[in-house]
Amino acid sequence: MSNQRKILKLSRIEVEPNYADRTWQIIEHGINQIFNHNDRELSMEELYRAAYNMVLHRFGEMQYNGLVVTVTRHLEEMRKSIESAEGSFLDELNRKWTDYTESMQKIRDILMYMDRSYVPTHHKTPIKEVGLNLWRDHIIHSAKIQTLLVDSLLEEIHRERMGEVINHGLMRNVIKMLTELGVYQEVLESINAFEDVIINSFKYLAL
Amino acid sequence: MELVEKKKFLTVGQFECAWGEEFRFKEAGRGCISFEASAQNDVTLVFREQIGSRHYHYKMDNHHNYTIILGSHRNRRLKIEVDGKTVVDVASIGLCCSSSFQSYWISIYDGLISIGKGLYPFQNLVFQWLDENPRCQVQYVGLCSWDKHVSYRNINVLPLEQNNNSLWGKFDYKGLEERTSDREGGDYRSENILTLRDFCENWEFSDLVFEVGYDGKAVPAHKLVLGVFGEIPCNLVEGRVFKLPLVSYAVVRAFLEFIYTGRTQIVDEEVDALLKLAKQFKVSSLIKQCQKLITRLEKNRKEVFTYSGANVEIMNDATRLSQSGGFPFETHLNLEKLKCFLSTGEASDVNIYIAGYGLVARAHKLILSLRSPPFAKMFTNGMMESSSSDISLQDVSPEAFSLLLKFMYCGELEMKETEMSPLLLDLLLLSDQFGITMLQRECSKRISECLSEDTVCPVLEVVSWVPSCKSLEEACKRHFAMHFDYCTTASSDFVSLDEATFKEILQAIRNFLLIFLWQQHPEMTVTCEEKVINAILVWCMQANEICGWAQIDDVLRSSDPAQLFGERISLLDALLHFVRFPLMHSSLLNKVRSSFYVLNFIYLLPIHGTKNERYQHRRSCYKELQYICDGDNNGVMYYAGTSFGEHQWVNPVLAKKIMVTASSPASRYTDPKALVSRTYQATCFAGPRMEDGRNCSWWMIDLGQDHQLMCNYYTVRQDGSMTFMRYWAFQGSMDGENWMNLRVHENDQTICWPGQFASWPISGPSALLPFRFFRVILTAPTAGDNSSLDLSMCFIELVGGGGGGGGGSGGPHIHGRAGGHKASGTFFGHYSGRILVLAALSLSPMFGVDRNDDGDVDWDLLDH
Repeated sequence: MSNQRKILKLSRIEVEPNYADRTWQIIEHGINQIFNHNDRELSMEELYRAAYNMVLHRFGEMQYNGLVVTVTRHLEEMRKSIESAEGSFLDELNRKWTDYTESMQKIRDILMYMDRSYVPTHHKTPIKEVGLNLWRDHIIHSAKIQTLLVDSLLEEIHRERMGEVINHGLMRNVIKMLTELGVYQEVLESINAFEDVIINSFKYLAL
Repeated sequence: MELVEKKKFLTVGQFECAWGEEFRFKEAGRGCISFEASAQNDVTLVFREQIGSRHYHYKMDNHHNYTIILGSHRNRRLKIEVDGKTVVDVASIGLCCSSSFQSYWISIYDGLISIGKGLYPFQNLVFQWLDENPRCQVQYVGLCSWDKHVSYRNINVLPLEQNNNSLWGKFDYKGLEERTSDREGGDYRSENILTLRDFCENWEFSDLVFEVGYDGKAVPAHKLVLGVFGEIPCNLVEGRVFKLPLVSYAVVRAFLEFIYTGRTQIVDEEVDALLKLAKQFKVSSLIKQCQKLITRLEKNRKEVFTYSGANVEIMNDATRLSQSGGFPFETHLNLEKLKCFLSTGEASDVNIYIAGYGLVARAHKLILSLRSPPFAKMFTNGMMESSSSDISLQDVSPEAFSLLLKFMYCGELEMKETEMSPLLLDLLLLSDQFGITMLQRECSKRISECLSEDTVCPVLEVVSWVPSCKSLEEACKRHFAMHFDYCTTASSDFVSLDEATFKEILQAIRNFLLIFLWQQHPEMTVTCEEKVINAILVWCMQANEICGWAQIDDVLRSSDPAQLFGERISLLDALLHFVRFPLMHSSLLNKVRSSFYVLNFIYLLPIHGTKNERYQHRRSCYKELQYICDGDNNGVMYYAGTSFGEHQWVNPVLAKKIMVTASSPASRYTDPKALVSRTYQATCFAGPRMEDGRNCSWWMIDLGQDHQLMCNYYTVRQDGSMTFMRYWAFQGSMDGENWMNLRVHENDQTICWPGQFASWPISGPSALLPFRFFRVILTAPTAGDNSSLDLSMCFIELVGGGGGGGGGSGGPHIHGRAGGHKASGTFFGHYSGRILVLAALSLSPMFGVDRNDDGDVDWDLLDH
């Protein structure tokens, strides 16, 4: 009986004092690389394992908060680059949005264990939603971008009404993004003039 | 697959029946219900077209119904009735009820009734019966009882989906999880779990291309899948492209669809071509289906002479079977063949290495992806592993990983040992890490089966880390608490448990006296409080050796407590609250009291002065009583009326089992026996009397010298008058003179109509104190126009003992079954709030608080 007890001692990783910090650094580096499109060099196995161990050792909260901070930092950079891209604003916005969703998907992959166990047991918002919320709060709700966005959309619609050919695919993507974020209505409401004209146009485009 | 789930508790009283929209099959005549039930006999389920009433009785039902009774005839037989006629009556083949919860599932598919045991529907089939004349309309499930109440929980109603994937069907039950925490991950799973269907005509991991038709349309497939279902032609073993110039795309599509999903549709004139293709790949199940179909078509053709051009459906036998509740996993799939693919590495596309060990297996990305979401992502999300055919894992035990791999391929855990082994724990962690819930469940099951006093501690330590192992964790804690003495003295393993876990165990022992059925565990001794103190001190010291409190006290006299207890010193105080000092032997109590003067928890210990109490620890004896509804037969008053289970009920006051006294003298309307009589009294009250210069009205109950009750629930019933009490207290006492408030009601508006029943839980420490006397005392005049000091009530019932939270949600529970007020959904009132209340009534003194004549225990002790 007593032998049995001895062998059951688990080979768990010993928690060193700075264990959590070190592990988080690995994950943070991974997230940065993902945003920088260097993810081909990353090992999913290593990152997943690090994230798994962190949650298992009850550093789920640290991981969760760290994720929010890191993503926010990248969003700030994106915001600047979108704001400065004056000429092709919608293009830039759409490109960044596509990048962002792809990156977030990969981040969700490596943090899957947290999404599965920490998030439900601690009643947190799932990573996917966190991603959308952050994008909405930092990009769409930025005053400058919001004005630019409304102006550009109006301009595109206006151009189409004048008989020009516009990029329907781009318009559709942007409007899809707004619906996904749940701010479609909100953006619409900020446009006071031509309201119903615009609603109709949007509906047509959103089809 | 959508899942309607209700995991809550549901207790059905005698001859009652619970219905609800949630217990409804999505599709009439087809569905499955899985549940856990605890009962002495007659766990009865009724399946009918419409919802029935609470007092529904299947013998009197004129509509079509199936009634299934588990544990009929005093828990000896399994019975199925159709429209009230018995069609099956067999000695129950392992389908009995028990007073601990057992899991069952029942599926109905167009008259085919399957009944099985266990948590997982369609596994462990025990009985099957086919109704020749199916009642296809049955849709609602009623959970019923017979002459004993039945408790149900974890009730899941599942649809039987048409296209259950035959092969991996078992894995399709995504949300079907064991317990709460597992279930919470539902979203994650439905999104991430892949099925073989997802790989049909998918280029991902494809290693075989069909070039179809003259234009050479490329259709992807997987050698592994074709190889498992049939055989890959020799000339293709090496090659990658398979040319089928004479076959149309529709045929190839149907062929693949059949293999990947178990069913397909095809235009009837193409069946021949499909058969030919199936023969080429030796897909025997498809060959058989095609041949059957051709015979049938030929018969038709004799009459019509042409192809109709209509689509015909081809379905795998196994698919059909799984729809009717068979075993999806074990049917036609050649598991041996699949295992062969693993052992030979044929058609493998990934080499798995373990750091420090080397190559463990040549595996298939397809299989790994089907079973484990993290692997699926690893192979597809564009990171390093996606483009490589080698992956290397770290911190993984090669043995455990091999077992994991084998499980992924064949769905079975190939481990013969029934003993607890570290491997099993490793495997549990590993399956959790890679999100293989089936294996995790299997491991949990095995571990909980072989828990022993020696292993529970290390297991608990590991399991408490894993958020998704809640049920196993609970099982471990229960086990630990049950063997508390052993677990805390045989080794000091328990000091490595974390705070929350340890606290829960202590809480469990406190409740133990009440919860765990003494009859079932006669060997279980009530943990002595001294052991609890020892355990708490040792845990706080994080000691390597077991030592008693006296030893620790000696050490304390010469050293700094902060140093001795380290970081856990702050927890010491909170934990010592779990010790029930009043239950300790007085000599011991005195000793304990004189020790530990260094620590500031000294105030916890009662000061006894000069009185000479004698505490004695006696073996206790319980009766489990369950509160079901107001006025039921499960309270102490009723139980006393049967002389504690010995005979039919007689009024306990008349039988002199219980004494009831009122503040005013007995009279026609102040009748002690009426209060426990179980019949409604239009006028029944206790008038005021002067006590200590104050007017008091009360009803008092004396359980007699030999009995004490830890009361945690009480029920009263208003008489026919409108004098409703608003300010009153429910009190307990040991001597009938010194009273302690168990629950104080201040302007409680609960009672608002004549004849109303109302119940309140007693929570907090007082629910854990045993008393002999109880009373309801009015503390201010009653409500209403003719406000008075009369305490009007015509019935009282006490229920004792308690579940974890010491008596449920804390609010009053009103059940208007009297006086024509029928609150809707009364039944579910209990259902929603976790108000399982166990009652414990001591037949001999509960824990023998046996005292001298002048024994006056300081009960306020725990009332901080």
